[in-house]
Amino acid sequence: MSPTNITEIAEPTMPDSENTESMEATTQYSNWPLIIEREYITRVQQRSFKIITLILTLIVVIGATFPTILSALNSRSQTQIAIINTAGTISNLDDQALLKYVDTHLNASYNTTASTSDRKTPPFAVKLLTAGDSAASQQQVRDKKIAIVLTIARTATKDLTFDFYTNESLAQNNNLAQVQALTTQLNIQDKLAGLGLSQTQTGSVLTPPQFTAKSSINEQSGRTNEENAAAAIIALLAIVLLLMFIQQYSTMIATGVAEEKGSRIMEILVNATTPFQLLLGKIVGVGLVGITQLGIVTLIGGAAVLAQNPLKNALLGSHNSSFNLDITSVSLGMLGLLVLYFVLGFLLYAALYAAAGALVSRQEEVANSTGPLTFLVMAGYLISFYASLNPSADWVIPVSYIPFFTPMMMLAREGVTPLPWWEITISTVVMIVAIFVCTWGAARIYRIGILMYGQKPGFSAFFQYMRSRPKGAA
Amino acid sequence: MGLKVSNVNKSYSNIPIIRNLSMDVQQGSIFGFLGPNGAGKTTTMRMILDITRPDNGTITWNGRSVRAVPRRYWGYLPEERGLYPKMTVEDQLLFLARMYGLPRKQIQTELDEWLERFQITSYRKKVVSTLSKGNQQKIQFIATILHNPDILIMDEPFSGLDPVNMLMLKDAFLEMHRRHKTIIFSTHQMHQVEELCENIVIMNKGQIVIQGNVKDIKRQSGRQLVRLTVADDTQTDWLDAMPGISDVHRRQDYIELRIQTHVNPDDILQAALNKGGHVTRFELVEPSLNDIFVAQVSDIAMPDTPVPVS
Repeated sequence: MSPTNITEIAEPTMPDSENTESMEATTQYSNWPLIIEREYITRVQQRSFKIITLILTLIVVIGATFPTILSALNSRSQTQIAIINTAGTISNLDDQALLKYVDTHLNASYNTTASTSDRKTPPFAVKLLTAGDSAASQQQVRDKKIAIVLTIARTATKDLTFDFYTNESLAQNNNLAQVQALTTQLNIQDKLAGLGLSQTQTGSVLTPPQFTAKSSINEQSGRTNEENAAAAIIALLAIVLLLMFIQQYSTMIATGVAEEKGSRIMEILVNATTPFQLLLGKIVGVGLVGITQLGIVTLIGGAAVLAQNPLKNALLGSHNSSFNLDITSVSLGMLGLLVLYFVLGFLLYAALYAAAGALVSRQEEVANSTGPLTFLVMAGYLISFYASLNPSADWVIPVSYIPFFTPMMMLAREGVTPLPWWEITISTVVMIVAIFVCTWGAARIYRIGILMYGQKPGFSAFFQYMRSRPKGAA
Repeated sequence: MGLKVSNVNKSYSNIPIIRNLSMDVQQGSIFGFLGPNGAGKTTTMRMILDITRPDNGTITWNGRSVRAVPRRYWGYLPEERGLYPKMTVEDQLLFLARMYGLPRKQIQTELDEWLERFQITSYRKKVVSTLSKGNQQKIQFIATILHNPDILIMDEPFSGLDPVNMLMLKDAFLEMHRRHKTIIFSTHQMHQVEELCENIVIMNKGQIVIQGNVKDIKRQSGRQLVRLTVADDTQTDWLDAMPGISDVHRRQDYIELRIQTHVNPDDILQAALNKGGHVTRFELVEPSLNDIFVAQVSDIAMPDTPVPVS
């Protein structure tokens, strides 16, 4: 076909002006909602998203249920103790009375709280053996039929001796500590009886004084000791979750940008819209995916926490839980802050990661250019971890206002003392300002970077793009 | 009217990429954009599309700055093909067309037609990365024209296609011409330019070295080729003595020679007859665009000094 033929077929006609004007009216609009829609739908449909969400949810549910299961298993277990008494009467206690004494004292905590205890049975089962059973009982210990054999004897000077034989490790042995405390009492009681004191008198001597312990930290936080301990653990969990989510979703932004650049669809996209809308659409779209995942995990995790009391009742019968530690308020406060600081932290890092993604030509190079940012995120994690170990250090509060560290630092501080509303407000404002500054700078790099190929990523490119003429300047 | 580029300059990091470029493209025409690699074709196309902006100079479409022209007037097929590898054909094309503000329903019917035309309806729900290169290129083409743009800018639309797909795409290309679209495309295949374009520019080193109507360019190139066979005089020594003749090549079954424009080809025929020869072939050949391209581009391939454009 020759050029002349073509011109004969197509006599160019001007589009009529009316049509032109009406088209214009519909084309001047923002299409970032469409970009958000694409980012969200394609990512949520991915199998990896579903699998990771499932795994995270399982971890949270198992984590919440594990202590309940453990205490349910514990509730049925008993430590078997055999006592061999060759010392005769100890402090006016004959063998039967001694057995009763040991049983009462070792199971004291169970006996006083029997109505509310988690346990179905007393923690210790005590029985009395005769001296002749000594060898056999030690064999039973070795065979793990019984846990402990306590042999009581008396020396020539009338002093009591106790032999503790067990198949458990002696390091950090709770049973050992309890039994030892008991024997000390028995010894004192025996000595006092020898001095002629009556049983009532020795009882009164051995009654511990009233002792109250208080901490100003508890007054500030309005939490009990147990709640403080729980809050610290929940804060650590929340920080790890925050780290994972910020890291995962910021990297997703960088690889997404590099993918668009590497597959060159970027050129078509910037023809259809502006780089800033692309950047904004991607950040919001990916952020919503993150919120969705975080939402699913925290909602199911929260439900799992709330389900623990009914579950305990079901497993342990009609007992009311003595573990009436209420972590709901701690958890909910932390959950709210987790979501708030995820959104803020993600927005802060996302634009920077997008710029880092725009500096490379291929997806495989993303790790190189995001390295410094990943370092910053990890630094925030380590600092906040350290802060939760030294919550009263001078640097904790100032550092918690450095925007890059604020999200995790604030969670660490919340784990120690609930943050007052004004600190949350100020840190939010500081972060929003930082987000605007970072996004502005990142957008400049992004805008130039997405059309450049082959350059080495690095700080020089970074600053060169920062200085370069923006699209739109005359 | 149409596209008007006037005195455009662009440099990156103080290195000039485009120098004082001016060109006109008539509305509704097919315009060939030629030049060796690195001549600045892609940069020029990006500036026309307002993806990057010139340092100075103006680019207008029908008298209006391209910055003010709505995005949906433009269709761009980039040199390196770009699609989301993990999206399905349909989702991808719908997304891209919707980016230009078209309602989903309107796109759907257009999309059906084009998939039908390219015989790839069965790939509709397939993920793009699983398609063959030729089929991906068809998708890329649909992505460029689905939003019904007025101006199509295509960077090497026919590279790397098998002959069947080439024909199919060329047909679609001409269909867009029939729909009065203005088409600017770059290529390295000169025969396509001769076949399709009325007007061309040839760029080198950021400057236009030739522009105008393909026929005029050939005519003005100052050269014409004559192919001559004289049956009983294979040597034709007399030719070398004639004025205005150069580059005489004696081939297997004909003699090819260049004549200057002022030489009348009839004189050569006359001379051959006068020698008593039996002329079995006498042919006047225009130089191919390929010859002109190579001549122009290699002329100034070495120095940075501009060569005046005829």
